[in-house]
Amino acid sequence: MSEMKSPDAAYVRELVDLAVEELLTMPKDEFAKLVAESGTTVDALADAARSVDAQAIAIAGKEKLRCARQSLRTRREGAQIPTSLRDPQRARDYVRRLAASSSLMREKLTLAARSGTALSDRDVQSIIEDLASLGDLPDVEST
Amino acid sequence: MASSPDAHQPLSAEAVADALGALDFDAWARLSVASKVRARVCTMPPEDLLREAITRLRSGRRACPPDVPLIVVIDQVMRSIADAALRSREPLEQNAGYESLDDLDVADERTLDPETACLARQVLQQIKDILADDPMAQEVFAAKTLGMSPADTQQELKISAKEYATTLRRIARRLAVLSLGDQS
Repeated sequence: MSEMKSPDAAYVRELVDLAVEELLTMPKDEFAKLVAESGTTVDALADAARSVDAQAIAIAGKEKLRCARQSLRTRREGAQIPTSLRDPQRARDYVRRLAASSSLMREKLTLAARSGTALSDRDVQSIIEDLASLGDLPDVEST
Repeated sequence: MASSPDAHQPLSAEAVADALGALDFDAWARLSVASKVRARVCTMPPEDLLREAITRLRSGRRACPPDVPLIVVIDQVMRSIADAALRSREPLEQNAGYESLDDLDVADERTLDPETACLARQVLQQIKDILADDPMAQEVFAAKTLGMSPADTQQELKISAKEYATTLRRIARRLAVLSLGDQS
């Protein structure tokens, strides 16, 4: 009976599951003893895992940022911007008028946007796209 | 008593981050060892397995059940990743959802490839080697590899169900110690 027959991946997986279950549920002192038998320490293993977690934090942060950018891009692409606001000068006039007429809009726009002069055409268009993506383009007809 | 509607909602990314921040050294050490054991039957290094599992939970790509201990969830995600890596040879899956822990179990023996079989052979041989000083463990191990049921094995070896379970646990511990000795 002690002769081992053909290897069985399912059995190895079962053993691995069992080993991990043991590891995760055994009492703390038993775990510490098992670790010590292997010539290492709980602290050393924990430090290694926490270092891995620190890397995971950075990666997850980048993933979230990438998702947020993609989401913004998608919203912008889907936003309806009137043709008239594609004209740089009309768009600039529109942003300036909005800032002047609405305290709420004034709060939304940055100091640079309110002055209008420091904004490039691309900046103005970006503001228009942002407002459109938020569904917040009042008085467009009058532009 | 009726449970609240949110009782079974996955934890938010923020809640996962809080829960990870609350793990003590003992829990982190257990996760470290678990990753080493799981990596024995996987083509990924243990730290990659652990990092990917935590990243998925932190980013929300993998939902975290609220009613399961976090280290168990992380281990099950590692298990899922290890199986998927072996099955597909493709970049790690981007899937997010879960309905129960069973959904994290993606193993399908029929799809295992030659590399898995090779890894399994290696691990089985290593386990056989480390059981050299434990005749009962050798017998139980051999019976398992022959596909004998627990009941048949107990009858054949004239041992109780408790002795059988204890022996299996002993084998599992040996595997854990073997994995801890790996340089990775």
